[in-house]
Amino acid sequence: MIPIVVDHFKLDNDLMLSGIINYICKPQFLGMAIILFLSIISIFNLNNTEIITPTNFLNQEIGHYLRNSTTKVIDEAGQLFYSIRAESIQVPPQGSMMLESLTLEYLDSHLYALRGILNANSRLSLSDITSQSSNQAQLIAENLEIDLEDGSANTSNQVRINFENGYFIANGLITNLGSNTIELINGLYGEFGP
Amino acid sequence: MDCTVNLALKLFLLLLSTASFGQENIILEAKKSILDRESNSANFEQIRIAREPLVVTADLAQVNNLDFNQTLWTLSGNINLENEFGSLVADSGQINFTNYEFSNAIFFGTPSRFDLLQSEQETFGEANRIELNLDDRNIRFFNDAIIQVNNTQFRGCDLIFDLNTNRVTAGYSECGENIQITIVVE
Repeated sequence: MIPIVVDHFKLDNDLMLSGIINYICKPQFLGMAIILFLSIISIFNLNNTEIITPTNFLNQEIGHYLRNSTTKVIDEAGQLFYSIRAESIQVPPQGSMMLESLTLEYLDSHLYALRGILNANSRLSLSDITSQSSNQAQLIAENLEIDLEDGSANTSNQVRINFENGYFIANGLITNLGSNTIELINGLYGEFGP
Repeated sequence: MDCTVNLALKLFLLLLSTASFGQENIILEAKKSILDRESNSANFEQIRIAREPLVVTADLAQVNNLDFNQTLWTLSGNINLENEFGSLVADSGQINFTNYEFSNAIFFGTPSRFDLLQSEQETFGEANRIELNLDDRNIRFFNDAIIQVNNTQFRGCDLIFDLNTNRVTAGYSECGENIQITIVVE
């Protein structure tokens, strides 16, 4: 079982705070209420790193949201395996996690995606992806299916690889995030110019 | 009215510039490819490389990098090449691009064959090794080389076809074979 470390998360406090302010109209109570509220939040933040497994993380009875969270997965030796940083994570009581505006760091591969769905079996489906490595050709893909346990990734939709002097387009890709090689399949077309 | 003419002229110039940009580009098409994103080297299956007027197809291709300022392609299997001078078939070979231009190539086969586009005469060459050198504007045929120009056949181990003068000359004679010329009188 691969443990997941939730590095930090923030609750969406704005709605809660405005409710408290509306309820306590008197100014003398306002300061006390804010101090009380911040104390509660600080208690939350003291426990902001927890080791959980994908199974019990997804099988919690109550769904919840995480904002600006980073999920780090470490191997048995304690080394970082991969991390997922997302602006928003929706965790339903059961089923898959829905992620938005996420960055997946898997060894040397850095992928940014607008949306992602993480299943309990470590399958991550990404949509609207761009790679973020400065010293490599840039990958742009409509979607990508990733097995986070072995790093294999594939799609049968259109992908584009941008180089300094040109590009390739293909209708399918097979790769491993742990390697530098990408297999482009189905109707490869490219243009290169000075 | 002037405005309409100006707009039409600008559109025409835009189309012209787009068309000329497309001609300068090197077009690659393949069934599939394996790219190394670190080194930009790549392997291709069923590739077609086009850089007007050059078109090359092959079963397999490997390129050391995709920077066409200086890049070497290694091809194998059912190679076909067409350019402004003619068409070639070979089993394996290497082609060079320098500054995005096809500069020279070497091909192997048993034999490789180059059919030259000559307006008035049937001209072709066969050899185990054929070198295209566009800088020197010649095609060189090595090992069991034959060049046929109409009814005249040249045989040797190193024959050179000059693309400027359309003449055949003998290269180095280190192989020890004398050049043989056969003229068939009809």
